[in-house]
Amino acid sequence: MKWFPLIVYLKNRINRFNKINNGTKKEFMMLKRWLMAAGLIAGVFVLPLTARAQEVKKEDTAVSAGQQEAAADQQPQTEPTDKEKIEALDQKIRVLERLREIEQEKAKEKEKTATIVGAGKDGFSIKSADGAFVFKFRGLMQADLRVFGENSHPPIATLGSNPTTFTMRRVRPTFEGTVFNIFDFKFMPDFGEGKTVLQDAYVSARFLPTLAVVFGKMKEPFGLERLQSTQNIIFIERALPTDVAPNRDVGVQITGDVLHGTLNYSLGVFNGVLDGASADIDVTKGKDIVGRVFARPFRQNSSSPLQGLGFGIAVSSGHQDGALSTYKTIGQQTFFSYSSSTVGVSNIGADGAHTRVSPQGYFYHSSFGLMFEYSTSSQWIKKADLVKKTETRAKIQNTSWQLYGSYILTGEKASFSGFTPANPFNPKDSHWGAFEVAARYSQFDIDDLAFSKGFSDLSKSASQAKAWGVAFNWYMNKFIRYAINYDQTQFKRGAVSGDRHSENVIMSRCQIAF
Amino acid sequence: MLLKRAVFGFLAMGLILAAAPLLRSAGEPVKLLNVSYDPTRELYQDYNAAFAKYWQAKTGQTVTINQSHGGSGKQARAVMDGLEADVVTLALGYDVDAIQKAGLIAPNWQSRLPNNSAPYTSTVVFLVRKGNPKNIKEWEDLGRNGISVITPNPKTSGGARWNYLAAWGYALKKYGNDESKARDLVTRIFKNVPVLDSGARGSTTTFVERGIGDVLIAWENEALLAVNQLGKDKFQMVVPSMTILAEPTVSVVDKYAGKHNTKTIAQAYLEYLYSEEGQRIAAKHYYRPRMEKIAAEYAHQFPIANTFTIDQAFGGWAKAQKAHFDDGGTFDQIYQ
Repeated sequence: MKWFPLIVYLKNRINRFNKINNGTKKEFMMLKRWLMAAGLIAGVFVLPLTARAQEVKKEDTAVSAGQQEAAADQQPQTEPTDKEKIEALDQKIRVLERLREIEQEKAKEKEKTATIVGAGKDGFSIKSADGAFVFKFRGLMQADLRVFGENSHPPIATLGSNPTTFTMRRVRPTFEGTVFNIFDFKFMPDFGEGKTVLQDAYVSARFLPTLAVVFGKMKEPFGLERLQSTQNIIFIERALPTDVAPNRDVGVQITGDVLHGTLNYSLGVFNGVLDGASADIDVTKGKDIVGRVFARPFRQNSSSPLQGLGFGIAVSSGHQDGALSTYKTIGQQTFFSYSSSTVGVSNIGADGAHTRVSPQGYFYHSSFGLMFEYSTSSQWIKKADLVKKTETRAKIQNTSWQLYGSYILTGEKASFSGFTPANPFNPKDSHWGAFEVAARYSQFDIDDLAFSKGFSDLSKSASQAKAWGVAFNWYMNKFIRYAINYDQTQFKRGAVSGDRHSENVIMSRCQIAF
Repeated sequence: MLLKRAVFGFLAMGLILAAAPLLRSAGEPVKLLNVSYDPTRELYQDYNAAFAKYWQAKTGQTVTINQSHGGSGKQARAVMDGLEADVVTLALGYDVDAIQKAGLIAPNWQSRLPNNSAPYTSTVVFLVRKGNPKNIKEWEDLGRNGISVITPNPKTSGGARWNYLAAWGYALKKYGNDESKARDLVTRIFKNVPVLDSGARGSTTTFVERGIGDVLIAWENEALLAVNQLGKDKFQMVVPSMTILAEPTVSVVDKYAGKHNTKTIAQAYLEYLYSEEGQRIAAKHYYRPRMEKIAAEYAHQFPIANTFTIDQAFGGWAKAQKAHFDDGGTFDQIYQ
């Protein structure tokens, strides 16, 4: 019975130890070993003492407890008492507990400073523990098939008699991240369509929540659909107003959200590019100033049906000399270009102010989306007749607009920045991803002066393009999307006689974006 | 021409906007980060409140001071690795020197404040269980068989380095600068250490809360705190016949304070430690004040200690660090 307190004590220690160590199997085994050690100690040291004590008791049952303790005190120091043994064992267990505790503290501390490597549904990333340094690897690949109708015009010379083509429309590995909390960077080349193009390469310094300064090559803050991320556009190709909007350009802009995030502003100075074009260097003397304000007045009001309403206006102003813009159909075929200069005969080119204006807006509610965009581009153009020694100069104003509506059949909430399917494709669970349908109309009008002043030729370039299209999107999961579109574009003039044949194109796309 | 002006105007505006965060008006609230060592938590909680009040009254500016605590060496490493401290208040000058060598603090840091930038001092003592059951009185007692000694790891803790050097310095003085005897004593002491915490506060936890060990080698302030606040009926302090005078040091971290535009207030924060109020707060938390008036006021709480300095016994921190705590130094040799 003398062992009872020791057993109770050890049991308590075990319970405490288990509590500290969450009772894992490994730790339980450790405890078990300690128990065995305790048992061994008991067997080797304490049992004989007990036996001896029992013998003493037999010999002289009148010996008091106090006398026994006194006797124990008189034992040589090399023979520890039961109490000392228990205390020693207690210290050992306490030390083990503490060492384990320190290990756990160290592990927690390490977690705080450990770099976080992520790979999952949110993509691939490396992040410092404090979030001040982030590196993300992203990618976009779009494999397209374009099938043109038999009577599409003009014949697609590069494709011979068979206008059907597969094409890698975009292949974009993207490296982006943050350093020292406030400096974001992005580097995105594009290897699509057999070319290597640097699309984005910039550093954005977020000095204030309401102010970021961005240097490098980026999208100019102008066209609404152009500013929508390529992976989120509803149709395979953007509509006709994007022909007017500048694409990527090199410069500097300030941008930010003010008024509690309900108003976004951007103001930038760029080299200046042709309509719909990108460039890496400026070859003309002027710079473009581009500004855009976009309001989402109900953004913070989650109960308002107008929460998804946004509208704004973008303006660009600059100076262009020389090269002139061309405009493409939905099927990416040129439907308008200015006449070419002929050595010794004529010289035609941009010559002065280039101004663009674009009122724009969208509305998203539940699964429904609507986008409207109007763009106009004014450019002074000069044509010199080198034979007659005459010069013609005029401001040409081309306009374009579009309206589209979309609806997600599977009920997800539509937004400008896309959505994630509620039920990613998984046939075993009868999950099929998300489905979306959309329809749009867009129109492009070339200024009549372009033809009457002899800057372009009506037998080669259309004076108007009207395009309508329908789209069906299948979002298998957050990363994978299949799409099929039908687009028809009707032209006014643009042929030797009468109107150019309509362009009928079926396009499909397999896209991976992460 | 007009466009050119517009471009330059725009760029100038951008630069002004970009520089805007750097321009701080006097009345704007400001934050400071004080990276300190383990046992100063309570001291700086009180001191920060007092300084904030003082600064508000003096300048009208609201200041919030955040604290970070850990082993002194570990804290210095954290600052060197990017923890943007405006000021450091560390256990020893060597750790501040390390930050200075990393280019974050000006080389003259120690002369920017009185007393070599050590506004208060402490010393190293023993904390034993009530009644001193193992009869521990002197450094040699810590090396006896069967004595369990608690002290933190000198590799990560400034306090632990003071502890180690106190024992070594004692032995040198006692045995006529016989290094082998000093080494023997310190070796025996560290053989009796079952747990090496990373900081002084951790060791106090080990000894006081976890009930491990017969003696804790501790900062005097930490020992007094344990005795007076955690239980006079449980612990008692023993002052050995000879010990070391510990001089915790403070400095503005020039690079980060410059970046945060807080240099002036950071310097004022440290200077206020030398004020009557600052010294009194230090004394209340059992740090020995430098100001004579306050030292006299609180003399009753500090036992008389026969101390030697790091310079006297070891020729300064640089030499002591190199000989004992650098990789492959004496500590690595005796504690494997």
